[in-house]
Amino acid sequence: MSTDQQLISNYLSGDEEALKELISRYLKPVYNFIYHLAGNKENAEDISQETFVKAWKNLKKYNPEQNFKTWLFTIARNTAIDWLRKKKSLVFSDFDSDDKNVMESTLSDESPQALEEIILSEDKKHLLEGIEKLSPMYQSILTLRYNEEFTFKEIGEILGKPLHTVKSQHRRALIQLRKLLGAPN
Amino acid sequence: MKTESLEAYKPSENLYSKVLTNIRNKNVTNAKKRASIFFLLGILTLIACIGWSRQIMAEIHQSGFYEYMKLIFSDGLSYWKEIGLSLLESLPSDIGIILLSILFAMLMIVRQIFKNLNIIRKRSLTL
Repeated sequence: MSTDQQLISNYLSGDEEALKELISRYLKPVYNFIYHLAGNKENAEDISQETFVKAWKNLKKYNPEQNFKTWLFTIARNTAIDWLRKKKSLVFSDFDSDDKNVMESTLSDESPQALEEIILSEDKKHLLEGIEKLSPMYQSILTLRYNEEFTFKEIGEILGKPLHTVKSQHRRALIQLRKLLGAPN
Repeated sequence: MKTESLEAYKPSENLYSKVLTNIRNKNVTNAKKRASIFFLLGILTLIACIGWSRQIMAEIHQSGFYEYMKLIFSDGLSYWKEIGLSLLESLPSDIGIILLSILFAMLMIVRQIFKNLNIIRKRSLTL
């Protein structure tokens, strides 16, 4: 399977199929991520389309040293914020809330085991309901971490937040999710 | 860890084709804009080319280029080196360079026009 960089290079050399492959590879993950920010399917689809058009427009400017997935998700995040701002449906106090407890940032990375325990103990529907009750920021962090397997550093780059903030918000998201699901600590 | 439950949010089946159509439409719109700009540039360079061609013809007349040409055909074989050099010297080199540059620019512009027309015709995804 070709790497993202190879596909981009092939596309810029005139291979149309390479672009199709790239879109096909990332359509679902990008849509999933946006869905948590947009909150409904229609908005998520519109934003996804805009995201890919923006990425396509800027493909010539893409720096191959950068991780393509992180680059694409950053575009997705910015597009979603702009789009929702236009529609005035984003509660920025939720999305942009900064970390107030810096002490938490010094804690080590939360193991994926924490969420795995919840997943094992709860059924899918219950989990999704719980996640949907979280703030858009918490939803984004959990999606990026567990669905897309980004590192905290990459999540920080995508969301434009420092590493310690991402770590502590991730921890809070898990705590809140546990509470919502009624799982033991 | 892949959380299956989080992947439950699936996009519509036609989202992929919608994205491609969107990109294709933008590409065609951009190609139309570029083709129009290059077409205008092409007309401008053509006008410039005609102007400079007239200028170069006038200078060639003044420089005695045609007289040297006639000499070559009359008794040029015996003095071909001298006449050849005089012929080269009689060419207006600065205007010639400008004219060649304009012709080169025109070729590039025509190439761009055809490239963009091809994108419009094929509704291509390539840049």
